[in-house]
Amino acid sequence: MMAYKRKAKTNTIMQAIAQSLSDEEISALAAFFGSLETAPRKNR
Amino acid sequence: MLAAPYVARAAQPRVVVIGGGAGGATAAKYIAQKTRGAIEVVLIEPSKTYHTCFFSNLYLGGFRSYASLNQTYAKLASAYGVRVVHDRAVAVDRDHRLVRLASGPNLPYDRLIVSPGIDFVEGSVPGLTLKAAAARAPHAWKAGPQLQRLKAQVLAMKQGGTFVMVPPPDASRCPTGPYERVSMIAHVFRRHNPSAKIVILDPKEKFSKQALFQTGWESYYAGMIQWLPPSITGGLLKVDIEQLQFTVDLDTFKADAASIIPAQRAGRIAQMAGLTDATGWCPIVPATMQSTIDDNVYVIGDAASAAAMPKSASAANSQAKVAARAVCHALLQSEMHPARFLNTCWSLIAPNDGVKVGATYRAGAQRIEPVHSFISQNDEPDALRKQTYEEAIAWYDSITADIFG
Repeated sequence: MMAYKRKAKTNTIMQAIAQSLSDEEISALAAFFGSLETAPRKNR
Repeated sequence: MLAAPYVARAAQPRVVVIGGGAGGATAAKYIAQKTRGAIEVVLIEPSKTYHTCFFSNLYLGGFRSYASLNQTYAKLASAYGVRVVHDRAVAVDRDHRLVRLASGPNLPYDRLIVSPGIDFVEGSVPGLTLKAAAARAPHAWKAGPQLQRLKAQVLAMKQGGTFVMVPPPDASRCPTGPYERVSMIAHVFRRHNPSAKIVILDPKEKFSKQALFQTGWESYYAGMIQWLPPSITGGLLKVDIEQLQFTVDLDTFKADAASIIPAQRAGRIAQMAGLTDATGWCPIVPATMQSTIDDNVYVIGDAASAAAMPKSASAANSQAKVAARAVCHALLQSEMHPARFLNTCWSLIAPNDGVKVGATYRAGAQRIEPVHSFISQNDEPDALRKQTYEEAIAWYDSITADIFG
C-alpha cells in the first residue's frame, strides 16, 4: 500500500485508494490483515 | 410471519432494506454479516434473479452471455441470515416506521434503507410515452428482457441501416453507459453490417470519457458513428415512434432501429415515501447516507443525490458500506469511522480496449467530495488497455461476490 501511495506501483485505482489513507491507517490495515489466521474463503 | 411480534422487535432491532440491487444487497449483507444476528435484516426485492446492468453492454457486444449477468439472493439468506422477502414495497409510513408490501402485510422497522434505483420521467422525450418507447426503442437501462429485445433489434437491422441512440440528460444512471453501448453496437455492425450507421442524438453538450470514446470510434469504427449534441442539431423536438423518425430543429433522421434512454429520477418508492426533493433525487447526509428528510431512513445508490459521485454499481456498493456502518452505530453503538467512498466506471470500446474513470471521495459537511481521481489516457499502450479490460472482468467477479456472495 505504501508503494502505491508513493506511486512506486502503478495501478491508478490502488494509488487513489492508498493516497486517501494516512500512514497510520495503512499500518492499521496491515495489522488487521496480518491478524487473520486463515486465508479468506473463496466465494466462487 | 412477516409482522414479527412487537416484543421480538424490541429485543432485536430490525433493519428493512428496500431494493436488492448493488446498493441494497450490499447493505443487507454487510449489516447481517457484521452483527451476526444482533440486528434482524429484511431485504425486500420483487425479483428472484437480479440482472446486473453493469456489463450488460458487453452482452450487446457479444462479450458476455445473458446468463452471466444473472445474480441470485440465495447466499445472502444462507450464509448471512438475511431474510429475503420477494415482494414489492408499495408504501412507507415513516411516522409509524412501517413498510407496506404489495401482498398486504405491514413490516415494522427500526431503520430503513432505501435503494430503489431509478425511475423514468414520463414526457421527457417529446411526443413519446415510456411504454411505446420501450417496445420500439428499448432503453434497456434496467437490463433484463429489454436488453434481449435491443440486441435482437440490433442484429435484425437491415444492411446499411441507421441506428439512432438517444442518451439521457444528466443526472442519470451510468453516465458512460450510452457511449459504451454505441461502441458495442458498432463492434457488432462492423462484423455483421459494415455499412450501417449510428447516429447519437445527445441532449448533452459533453459526456464522460468523451475524448477516449471519440478517439476509439475514429480508430475502430471510422465513418460509422455520428455524435450530435444540441448545439449542432438544435435539440430533439419530436419522435414518431412507429416510423422511428427523429425530428430535430434542423433535420429529420429515419432510423431502422433505436434505443431511447429517457430522463431519470429516484425509484418510485422513494418518491412515494416523500424522500425526494425538487431535483427528483433524494438528498442525503454525506457522512452516513441518512436522508436529510428522515433520520431513520438511509438512501443509497442511484436514488441518492451523491453530488460528484456518479450513479453506478460501484458507487452504490461503496455508499452501502457507509450506510451499513452508520446503521450499526445507530442501533448497537458500534464503532463509527469517517466515511470513505470509491467509484470506478469501466467501459469497453473494442475488443481488449478497456478504459476506466474513477475517484475516491470523502464526506464533506454538505456534499460528498472527490479526493483523488483517475482516468485512462488517450495515448496509452495497447497492453495497458488490455490490462484495464482484464481488471474490469476481475472487478465484475469481485463486486458481484461482495454484493451477493
